[in-house]
Amino acid sequence: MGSGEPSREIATRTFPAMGTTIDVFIEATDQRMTDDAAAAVTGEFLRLEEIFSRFSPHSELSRLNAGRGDAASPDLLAVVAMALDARVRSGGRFDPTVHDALVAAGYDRTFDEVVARGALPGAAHPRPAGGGVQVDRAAGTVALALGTRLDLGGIAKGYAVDRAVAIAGAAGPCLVNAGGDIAVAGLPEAGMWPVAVETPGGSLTVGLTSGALATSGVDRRRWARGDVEAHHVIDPLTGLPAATDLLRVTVSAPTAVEAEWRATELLVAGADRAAAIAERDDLSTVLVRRDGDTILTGALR
Amino acid sequence: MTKDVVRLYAIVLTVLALFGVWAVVAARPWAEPAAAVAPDPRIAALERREANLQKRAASAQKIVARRMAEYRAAVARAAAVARQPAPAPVQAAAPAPVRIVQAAPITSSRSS
Repeated sequence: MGSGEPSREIATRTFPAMGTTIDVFIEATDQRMTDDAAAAVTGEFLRLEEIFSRFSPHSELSRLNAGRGDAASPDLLAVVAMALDARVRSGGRFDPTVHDALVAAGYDRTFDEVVARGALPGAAHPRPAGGGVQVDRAAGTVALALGTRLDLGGIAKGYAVDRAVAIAGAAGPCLVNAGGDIAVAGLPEAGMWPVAVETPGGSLTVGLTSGALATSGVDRRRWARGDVEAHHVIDPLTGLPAATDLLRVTVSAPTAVEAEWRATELLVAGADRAAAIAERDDLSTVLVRRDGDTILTGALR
Repeated sequence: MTKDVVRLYAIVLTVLALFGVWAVVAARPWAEPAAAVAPDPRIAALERREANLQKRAASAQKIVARRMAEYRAAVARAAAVARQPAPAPVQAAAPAPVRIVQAAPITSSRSS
């Protein structure tokens, strides 16, 4: 301890929220600051879950989907606006209006309850997305076209992660991982945040120095419908679980929100188109194909 | 004076009076002067248009002259800059925020 500077250790806090496990890593010298930051992050995730959960009938999103929405909170306005922007930028491959398609596919309750229910008979009925959504920031309202309902699960999680690192960053360099959606703020003593990304051959470690990382895949949230396997990544064009040759996509982006919708966009696009999009937009990605091939793009090549 | 002379004088005076009346009638002093006839409206319109065009041409000339002066000043400035030595090369682009590393991971990004 010749330098006199207090040692910096990475403290970890873990808690459940938004249907997944949240891990918070903070490198700080002050234990109290770490505890306060972790508590604030926990509170923020729970607060946002009350807004964005489609499984809670009392959430702001559920009330909006039921046509009982009043003035929208700033968080709901922000996330819906981001989702609509993502819909445009992804060419429609990411679309927040896939709610009914998700429900028709069988994801009509929490995933734990879907697993407990078991296989569903028959194939899913297609429910193409693309419904009208109007955001009026001045009036503070979100209006949905008739028959349109929103699912903001993934993008809301990314939003929560971005807000969490902004909060925890006050205590020191930090990383927040919400079920695979990761964002970092500041650099630890190691100079980067090492994150494992699963590949068919095992895993590779990605060093993150800023921004975010998100993984979307069809290998986890899946269930059986008749003779067909259904999963939670809906192709907005068909209104059915995406028929993609990709098993999993990991994307690096400046924010967790963008990483989240990019991952969905690329997964829906399929391997060849995803590689082309990654090349065009200079994205760093890990594309894992169903046949076991792995494609690396951008700075990960 | 004989009666014939008187008659002759009367005839001459009558003819002269006749001519006089004719002259007066021909002059038509009760009629309106020719200048009071209404001018052709098309000519008045043409004259107004010509005056307007001349005024606009004068304004356009002023604008062109001002812009020409500004252009000449910009050319002079650009020439002065071109004569200066080349600036230092720009710094290299910032490193990518992500790369593959050989280190023990602290966490993992898995399918959500």
